[in-house]
Amino acid sequence: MEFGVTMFPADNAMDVAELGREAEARGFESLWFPEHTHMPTATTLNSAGTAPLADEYRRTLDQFVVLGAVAAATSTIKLGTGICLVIQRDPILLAKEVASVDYLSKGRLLFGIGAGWNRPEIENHGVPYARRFRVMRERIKAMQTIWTNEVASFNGDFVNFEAINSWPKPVQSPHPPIIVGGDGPRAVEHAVEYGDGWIPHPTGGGAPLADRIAAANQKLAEAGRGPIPITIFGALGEDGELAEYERLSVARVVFRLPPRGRDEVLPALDRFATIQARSR
Amino acid sequence: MKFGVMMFPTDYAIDPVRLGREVEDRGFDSLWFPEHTHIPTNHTPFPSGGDLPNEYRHTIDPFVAFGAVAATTTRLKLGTGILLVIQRDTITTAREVASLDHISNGRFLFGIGAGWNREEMENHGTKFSRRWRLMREQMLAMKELWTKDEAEFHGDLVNFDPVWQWPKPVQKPHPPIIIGGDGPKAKEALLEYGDGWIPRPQDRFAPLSARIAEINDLLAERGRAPVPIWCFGAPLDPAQIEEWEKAGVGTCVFRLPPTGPDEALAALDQCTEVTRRFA
Repeated sequence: MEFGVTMFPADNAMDVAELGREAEARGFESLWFPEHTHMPTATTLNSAGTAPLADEYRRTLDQFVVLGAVAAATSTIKLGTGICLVIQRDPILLAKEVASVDYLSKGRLLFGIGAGWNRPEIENHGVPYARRFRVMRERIKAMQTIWTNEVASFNGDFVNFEAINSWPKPVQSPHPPIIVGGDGPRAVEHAVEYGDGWIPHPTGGGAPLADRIAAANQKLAEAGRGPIPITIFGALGEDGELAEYERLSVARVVFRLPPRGRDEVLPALDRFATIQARSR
Repeated sequence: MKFGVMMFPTDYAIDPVRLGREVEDRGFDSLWFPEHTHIPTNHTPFPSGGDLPNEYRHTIDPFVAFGAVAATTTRLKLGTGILLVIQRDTITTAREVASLDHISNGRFLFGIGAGWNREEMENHGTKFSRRWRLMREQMLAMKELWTKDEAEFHGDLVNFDPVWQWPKPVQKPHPPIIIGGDGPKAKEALLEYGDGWIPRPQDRFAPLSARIAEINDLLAERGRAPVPIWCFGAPLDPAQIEEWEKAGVGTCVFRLPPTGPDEALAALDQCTEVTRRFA
């Protein structure tokens, strides 16, 4: 099992380039950054509607500026979008941004994606909330076409272009792994259809994790596919918990760092590094 | 006179991180990256004539490239030369600009343009005939996002209810908006919301000195002081650079070939040699 860390790259949190170097020095396999492009003032609660929206949701630096900086500051740690809101980004431009990070990092990008939850945020980017999964599928397929063809064309219901050139191509072949986040029936359907990995919720999702993984593996088998690597975000690092993830053949757990200054982030990083060392 | 360097960052040229360090070490004021998000095989004829150079199809995204350069330099200013705003989402672009200004500690120069490649912009949903109207609304909306805790914008082409977005840019009120182009609409944009200008060096319309004098008059009519001027494609001939200086150009930007490190650095050294005469 691999170990990664994630932090909201807030403007009042630890510098991301320094975080990259410190995480790499402690031997973590991956460093992940989430994204929200902005927050409508209408959004006052978190995604579950159970608590006030945390301030870092309003303060995240742009994911691709951050990934560019961390790629230059590190040399081996993998860099993940955790997750990228594909439906809020133009697919031709996003294909270029993903390929650019993969190129500058020499093939270290993990492309975590999701369809989002925040209706007014999504709709400020021109995509109706109800269509978000259909739009995400087409944009992913269009990007796969751009990444793998010298001359790419795509004709869908939402994405259309004829015969375009776009380099750089990703370093990873055929492209960075597409890791689908979410537990809803449509998120699982997408992971089964085109996911190179899946990020289920550790405790939510309406059933025990073991059952959800078994159900997804069943659907994968029906689609003629083997199991895909599973990444768990928000692991706490407790002994029993990690043993259970091992038992379920989870490929990677990602610890959450607080979006605070280095004085708070580095001790948390050390704590997770100790857990990582103990599990090896 | 200040000096800058521009190169297409591509997958076959010197690495942008190495280039940034080498340019900073040689004392240049700024590094500029252009952009094209892609090139349709059926595209508008290249405005400079001839075949479209291959680097237009191979550019690394400027925000990713500048994120990398910002993390590995300390003094160098970083400019988009130019960014095709009309091919990008307004809210996301505002966030990318503010993030780069944050990470670089206030070193971003926001060069913008309305583009020339009809087929490229149409693939981003932008009608060619509307590009200047769209860019205007996008920039006015970005100013709201950069300067207000709760920003909203209600235009014909850009529209959103109140939103939060941090970081705010380090430069106040925001990084300079530098307009590229010489047409009447580019001039209008400069007079209304531009903080700087990138005119074409060629005397195709009128001599550079006359065009700069005209802009300064128009700015004065509006009660504005002259704006800083960057000119791309600087000559290696010091006498010509002196003419640019007399015309009112503040920064000469040399173009480097998008080639491997040996050739690109040899060209950079030639440019550096010229700048020493103005030290």
